[in-house]
Amino acid sequence: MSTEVIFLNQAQAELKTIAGIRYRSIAALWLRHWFAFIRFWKYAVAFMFVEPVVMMIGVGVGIGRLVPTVPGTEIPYPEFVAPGIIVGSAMFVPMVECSMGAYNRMENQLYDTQLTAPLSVLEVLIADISFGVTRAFISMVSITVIAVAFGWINEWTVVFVVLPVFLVAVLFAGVGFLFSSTAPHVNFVTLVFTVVGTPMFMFSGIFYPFEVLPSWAQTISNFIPLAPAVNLSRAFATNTMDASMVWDLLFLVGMIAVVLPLSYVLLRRKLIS
Amino acid sequence: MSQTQVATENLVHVSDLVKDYDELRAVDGIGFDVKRGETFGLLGPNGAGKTTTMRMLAGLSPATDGSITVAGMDVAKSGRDVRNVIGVVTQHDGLDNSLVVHRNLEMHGYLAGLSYREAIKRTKEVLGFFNLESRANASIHALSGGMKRRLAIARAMMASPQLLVMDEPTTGLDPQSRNRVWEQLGALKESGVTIIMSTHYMIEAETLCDRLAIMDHGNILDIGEPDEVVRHHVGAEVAMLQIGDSATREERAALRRQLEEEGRDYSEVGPRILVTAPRGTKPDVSTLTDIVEMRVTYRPAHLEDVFLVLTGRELRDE
Repeated sequence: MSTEVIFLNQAQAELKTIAGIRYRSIAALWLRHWFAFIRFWKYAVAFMFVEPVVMMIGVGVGIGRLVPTVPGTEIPYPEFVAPGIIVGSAMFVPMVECSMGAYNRMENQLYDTQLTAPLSVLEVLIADISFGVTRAFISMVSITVIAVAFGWINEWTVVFVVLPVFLVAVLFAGVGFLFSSTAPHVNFVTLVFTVVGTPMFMFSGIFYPFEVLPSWAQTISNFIPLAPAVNLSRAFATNTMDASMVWDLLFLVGMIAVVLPLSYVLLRRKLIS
Repeated sequence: MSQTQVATENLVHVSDLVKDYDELRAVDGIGFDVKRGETFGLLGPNGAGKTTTMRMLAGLSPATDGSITVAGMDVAKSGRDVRNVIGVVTQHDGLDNSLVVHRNLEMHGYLAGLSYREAIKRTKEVLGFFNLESRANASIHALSGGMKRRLAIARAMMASPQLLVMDEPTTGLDPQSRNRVWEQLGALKESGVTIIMSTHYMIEAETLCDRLAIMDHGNILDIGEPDEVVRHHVGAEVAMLQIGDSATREERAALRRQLEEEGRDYSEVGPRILVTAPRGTKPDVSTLTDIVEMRVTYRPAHLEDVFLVLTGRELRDE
């Protein structure tokens, strides 16, 4: 076959866009992430599935023996913790993808290479966040199945947990990009776990109700970004939904509206200079 | 299109291009045209502005001023459409270490707009052309430097671009790997692909480029066909003056004074002095041989002599 046939016979691809966003770019980058994910699936599963499940069983069974029910309620402790672990994992998984993962892609000039194809920084952002959400969903399903099997989640309304998981995943994928886009070195990126991840996980009401805190701490706790998601997840998992959930939803959407544009601006500044 | 059928139409037009980074002017108002089917080289020492120019051409860096058009499209206004007709090989391979070889190509082809089925078919063709088919399932880490470079070029060719932009395609490769890359670039060139490449290997520029521009400090110092540039700046032959070990410091100083007084073009390379005759044939050094004991030899002038004459000999930061 002549080189002429190989290199000059190809028709140019048609670019289909919706509101200026080329969905092929998003599909292709998502697929790239998927292939990278399944190539090293054992490690990914360990992080996404084994770690939160071990934690849930450890806390649920271990601490659950010491604290059979949440004080002041009839709710068994494992049932109280499990919905929070689901959104906690939905925070960590995409945040890792878009902080450490994205930083590695920047360092390896992978984004530079991708951007030589006809795609935009916005499409890169959407694709990476979409994959973060995908991983959060996989994690959610795994943990929920285990929790249901142990009898810690008993209500069919748990299916609606997909909503807070989605919002949390989008929000914290965006937070991950805030760190990867501004990091002068890899040690800075690890701050996302020290400054954001661990405090969120410990203080957003996953392991104890805010009522046990002093009133001033309760006020602060309500503004911790993961807290409304924990409320939503627990309400869906225990079928105790009420009108206050609307505020939780609006709070999460509001934070996404702030974080995502900022992520975009910082990522664009990082990649196009 | 074969090389003999090269069209005279300009595929790339660069005009008054400027790039500032804070206080630093990396590119200072350069301009050049590249014809369809041509291989055009940007030569220059480190920090000359080559990579910045290549990044602007590829749409990875917005120009501060000036314009670039590719296939009639303005890079600043139609970046996406321009990148649809360009294949880019960045200075670092930018290969995806998380994917095996064939997935690197498939994913780039799919990203560039091929259907998934086309991307798979095309990957097989391109792997064959670049002699990488036996490594299709290999991990990127398992490839040699030369293979990685060829894979990076293969990736840029996935969507059959009209223009291939390459930033230092063979930097860091051993001579065998470099020759292999040159062979394959030569074949692409023969097939009519338009190429813009930056390099600081003179032999690479002489081997592959139809025309070249010599850059330094963000400016183009000269532009033309390699032979023409050599003739213009250093003539046909270079006289190499090998000064004897017994020469005193004063005799050497006297030789330099004489060279300056005669307005000679010369450069010192280690213990040798190279004397050139711009636009001439062979430099006459008869007025110099009495000053100090020396051995005079002549050799054909080449691009490296031009490079040293135009850009000087001081070391540049990496």
